[in-house]
Amino acid sequence: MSITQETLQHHLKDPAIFCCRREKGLIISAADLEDPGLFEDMQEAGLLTLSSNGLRIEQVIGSTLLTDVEALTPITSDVLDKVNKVEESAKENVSEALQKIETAPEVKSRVGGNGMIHIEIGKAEKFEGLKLDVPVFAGVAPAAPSEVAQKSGEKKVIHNLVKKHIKISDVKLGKKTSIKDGVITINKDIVNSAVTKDILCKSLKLDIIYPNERHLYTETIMDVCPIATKVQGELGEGITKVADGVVFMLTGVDEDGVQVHEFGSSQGYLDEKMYFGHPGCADENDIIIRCHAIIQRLSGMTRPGPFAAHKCQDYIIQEIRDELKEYEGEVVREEICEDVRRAGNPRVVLIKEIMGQGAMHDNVICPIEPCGVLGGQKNVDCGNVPMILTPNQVRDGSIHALTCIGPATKEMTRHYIREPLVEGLAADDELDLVGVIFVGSPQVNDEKLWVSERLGSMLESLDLDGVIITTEGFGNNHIDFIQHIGQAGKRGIPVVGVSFCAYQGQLVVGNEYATAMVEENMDKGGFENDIAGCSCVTVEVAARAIQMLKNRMAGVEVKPAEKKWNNDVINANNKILGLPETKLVESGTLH
Amino acid sequence: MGGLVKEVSKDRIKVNLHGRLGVITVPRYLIISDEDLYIGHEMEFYFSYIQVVEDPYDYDSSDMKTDHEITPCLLGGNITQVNDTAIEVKIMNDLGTIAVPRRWAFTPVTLEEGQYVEFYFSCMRVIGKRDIPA
Repeated sequence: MSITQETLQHHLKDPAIFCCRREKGLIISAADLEDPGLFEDMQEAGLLTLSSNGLRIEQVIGSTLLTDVEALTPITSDVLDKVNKVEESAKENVSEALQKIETAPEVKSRVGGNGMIHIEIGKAEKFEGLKLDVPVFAGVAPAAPSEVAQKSGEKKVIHNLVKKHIKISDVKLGKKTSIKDGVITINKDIVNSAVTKDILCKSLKLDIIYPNERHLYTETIMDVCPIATKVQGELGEGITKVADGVVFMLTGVDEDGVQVHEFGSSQGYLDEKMYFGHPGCADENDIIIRCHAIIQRLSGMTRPGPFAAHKCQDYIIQEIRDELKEYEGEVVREEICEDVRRAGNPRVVLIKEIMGQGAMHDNVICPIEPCGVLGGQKNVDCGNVPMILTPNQVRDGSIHALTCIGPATKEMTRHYIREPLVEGLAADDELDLVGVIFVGSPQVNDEKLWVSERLGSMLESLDLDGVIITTEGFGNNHIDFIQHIGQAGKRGIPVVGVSFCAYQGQLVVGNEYATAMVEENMDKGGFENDIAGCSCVTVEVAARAIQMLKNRMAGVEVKPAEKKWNNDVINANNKILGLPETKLVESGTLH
Repeated sequence: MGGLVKEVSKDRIKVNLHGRLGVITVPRYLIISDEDLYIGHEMEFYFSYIQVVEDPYDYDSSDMKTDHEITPCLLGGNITQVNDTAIEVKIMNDLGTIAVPRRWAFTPVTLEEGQYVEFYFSCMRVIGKRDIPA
C-alpha cells in the first residue's frame, strides 16, 4: 500500500521500502513506498526483512532507480543514481522512543524535569480475531517544566470526612450479632431472615476464612465489600467507621449449581483466584466473611438475579454496621479526607466509565450506607448518563459494584472506597480536583454516542484543564471510552486514558485525541485472567496517569512508540517515577 | 483465545473461555488433538468480538478444518437468546453455539433474537490439561 505525501512527511526517517515491484528508470515518490506503520506486522508475518544497508525515506525521494526492484524490498544505495544527503543527527530522533524506553533514567536527567510518561495505545482498524496484531503503542518521553508546579492554589476545604478504621481481630458465627473486644460475632441465623429480603434468593450461607486458610475451593467471586457505616453526616462528610481487617466476599450459583452470570470457569481455590492487596480485593491479612448465595434457577443472567444476592448480603452487613456504629474499639487508623478547592490550580476531573449493559454490568450509586445497596440508584436505570460526585463521596463508599464480569478487570465495591486515582488526585496540591464523574456504558452504539455527548457538555461546563478517563475491562465499552476521550479532546482539554488493553483488550477504535494512555494489565500473556482484581487501577497505575496528565497539560508532545503492548515500557515509566516494578502474573495465558 | 473444556459428550464439547468471557460449544470434529478429550483440557483458538450486522455476507466455513494449523475464519450466525447478561449465538452450518457477555457484542441496534452476527473463529487445538474439580 503506497503512502501519501502527508504520510511521507511523518516518516522521513523510516526505512524506504517499495510497496510494489518497480522498474528501472523510476523517479521515486511517495506513491512507490510502503507505509512504515505496517512494517512491524509485515516483519512478523515474514513478508519483510529490513536491511542494515537500507536507506531512509528522506534519502531516496527524487532518486532514479537503476534496476528493477521487487516489492517489499529495502532500497539500498546500489540501486539508485544518488542518495540524498541528510543530517545524521536526525537518525537519532528516529528511534527516539525506543531509546527513551531503554534509557529512561538518562532521559529524566537530561531534561532535568520530573519525568514524563507517554504510553500510547493506538487504534485498531478492525478486530480481525484476537490473535492478530492491532496497534498498541507505548513509550516514554521527557518531562517538561510544568506550569502546574509553579502555581500554588489556595486551599479551601469544602467537606471533611473522617474514616475511622476500627480494629477487628476475629470473626465468629454465634447466636447474636455483636462486636466486642475487636471480635465480630454474627448471628448465624441471620441468613434465614436475610434470604427473605428478595424472592429470587433461595438460600444464604456464611463462613469465615482466615488468612492462613485460603487454599479452599470457592465459587465465582461476585464481589468484595467492606463493612463501613456512617456515624455522623451523609456520604462524603462527617464520620464513617470502617471495620479494619475484615471484608465480605460474595459468591453465588443458581439452584442448578450454575455459577451466577455463568461465563467461564472462574471458581477455584481462593488463594489462586484473588490478587490480595489490590484495591478491590481482600488484603493479605484480612479475614474474609464468605457469603454464598443460591439464587433462583435460570435467574443468574437476569438483572434481578445477581442483584438479589447483593441485596441479601447487604442485609447481613447492615446488622454488623448497626453494631459498628456503637462500638468504640481501637482505632488503628484515622483517615482524614478533604474535598478541597485549590483556586488557581489546573481544574481536573476523574471520569470513571462504569458498566451499564445490564445485569452485573451495573452499579448502585449513592446508597444510604457506605458500600451499601439500599437507597442507591442503578446507573442503568438512570440511563447511564454522567453523574458527578465529590471525591469524598467516592471515598465514602458511594459506589456498590454489581461488578462487571471479567474477574481480573472488574472493579469491585472495595475498589471504589479506596480508588487510587481518587486518592492520588485529591492529595495532589498541584491540582484542583473538581469531582469524579461516573458514566455508564450502554449496549448500543448510538446510545454510547448519546451518553458521550452528554459527558462532553458536562466537561465543557466545568471549564476544565485536564481529565483522566478510566474504563473497566474491555469490549464494546472501549467504543464509548474513546468517544469520551474525543469529547474532551475536541474541546481542547488534555486527556489521559486508563484501561486494560494489553494483548486481549486491544482497542478496536481510536481517534486523534486518544494518544496518551496508561495500561492496567498485569497478566503475563496480556489476557483477562481468572484472578479477581488482577488488572485494575493500582497505586502505580494512578501515579503514572497523574504524571502523564500533568505533562499533557504542560503541552509536552506525545510520541508514538512501540506498536505492541510491552511491559518493559510500563516498567521504564515506573522506574522514572520511582515506583515498584510491575510484575506480571503467570496465569497460563500466553499468546 | 484460551478456554477450558468443561463438558464432553459424544459429539460436542463445551469450553469455558478464560476470564469468564463466555462459553462455546462446538462439534468434536473442530478439535485438533492427538488424544481423547476430557474435562480440564486447555484449548487454544481464534475468536473475535461479535458484530451485529444487518446485511450479512455469504460466509464461507470451508476453512474450518483440522488438517492444518488453526486460522481465523469469518463466520456468520444468528442470535438465539438475549438476556440482561449475555447473548447466545448459533454458529452457521451447525458449527456450535457461543454465549458471551453483552459487552462482547458490538451492535448498532438493540439486541434481539434472530439478528445476524459475524465474527472470526477457528478450530480449536488442545494445548494442555488442568486438574479441576468436577
